[in-house]
Amino acid sequence: MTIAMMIGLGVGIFIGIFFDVNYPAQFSFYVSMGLLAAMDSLLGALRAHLEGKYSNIIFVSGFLTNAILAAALVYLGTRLGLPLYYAVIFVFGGRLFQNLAVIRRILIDKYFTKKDINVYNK
Amino acid sequence: MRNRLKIVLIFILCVFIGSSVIVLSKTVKGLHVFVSSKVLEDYRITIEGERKDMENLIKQIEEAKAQLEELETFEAENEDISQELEAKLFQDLEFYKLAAGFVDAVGPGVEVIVDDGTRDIGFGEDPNDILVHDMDLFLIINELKAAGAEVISVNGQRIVDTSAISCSGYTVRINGQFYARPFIIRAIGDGSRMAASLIGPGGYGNYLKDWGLVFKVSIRDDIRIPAYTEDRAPKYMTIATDDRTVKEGENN
Repeated sequence: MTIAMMIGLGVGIFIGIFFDVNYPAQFSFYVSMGLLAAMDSLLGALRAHLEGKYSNIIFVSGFLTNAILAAALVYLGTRLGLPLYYAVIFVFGGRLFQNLAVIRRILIDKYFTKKDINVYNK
Repeated sequence: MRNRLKIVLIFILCVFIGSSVIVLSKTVKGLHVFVSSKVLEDYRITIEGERKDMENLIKQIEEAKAQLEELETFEAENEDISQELEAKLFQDLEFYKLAAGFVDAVGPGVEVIVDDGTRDIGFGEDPNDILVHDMDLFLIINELKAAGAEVISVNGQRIVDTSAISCSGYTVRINGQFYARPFIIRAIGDGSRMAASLIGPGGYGNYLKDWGLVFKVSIRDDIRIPAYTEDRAPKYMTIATDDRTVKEGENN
């Protein structure tokens, strides 16, 4: 799992640096919102994995609906002249920290306090 | 199997995150700055204006291309093109004559009659209140132009680009000729629109009527506007020979 993440990030950075991927400037908001949704999903998946509650369908559907909602909010915001993307940034940003906090606690419990709270622990 | 799918999904997501971080950081240069909606609106208007300019230019290019093609087909057909060219030139000439006011113009339009008021003036009231002034004619002509008039005459004097209307006592001087009341202004264009702009709410005709002046508008199908008869040989201006375009704000 962690190895897959590392390799994936490495491949992504490689693609970003060495392939000239371009997109129109007006979509930069959408790309950043998609990035936020992806990071949120990634941390969510990591957390679920550590908690032993991971499910593929929840992971994929969660990422897709989050990304679609984020894009829809950004689009609506540009149509209405309202900074609706703040909602996306706040929600995903908040969830990033929350997920990270849970992951931290789980890892601390696992490796430092050695308290086994996890049924899934293999 | 389930585990492998999980790893593949996580891998794909990580590839997406890594690449979009790099691409974003390559594309976005510096921080986003706050832009007020007014500035945004200004930019929008500027962009729209530029786009319209561009469209006009494209249209011009297309027209020129069509013209070129026309000439080329003439050439390709290898006919005696001099006659057709001549006809085309005469057609152009007719148009310029009409636009510049060297020939009579006919068409539908409006006839406006403005006359001094017939009401009694009040004690101590300025008699100027019920007289037609050069300014009144000026404003009526301007309103007619704003409502889409193509050609205008005042008392049979065609209003061309160099026409001046000035006050001279009880008469008004138009194109160097003196005219007294009543003033008959004829204009060719969208008759109902021009009439509405004059006698509609807030129109200048209503204003004149309120002062007690005589103001009549009739929509007609057969307005005839005579040619410009004064001498108009230019004394100072000549045709520019270089094709340099003068930019806005540039003092050539």
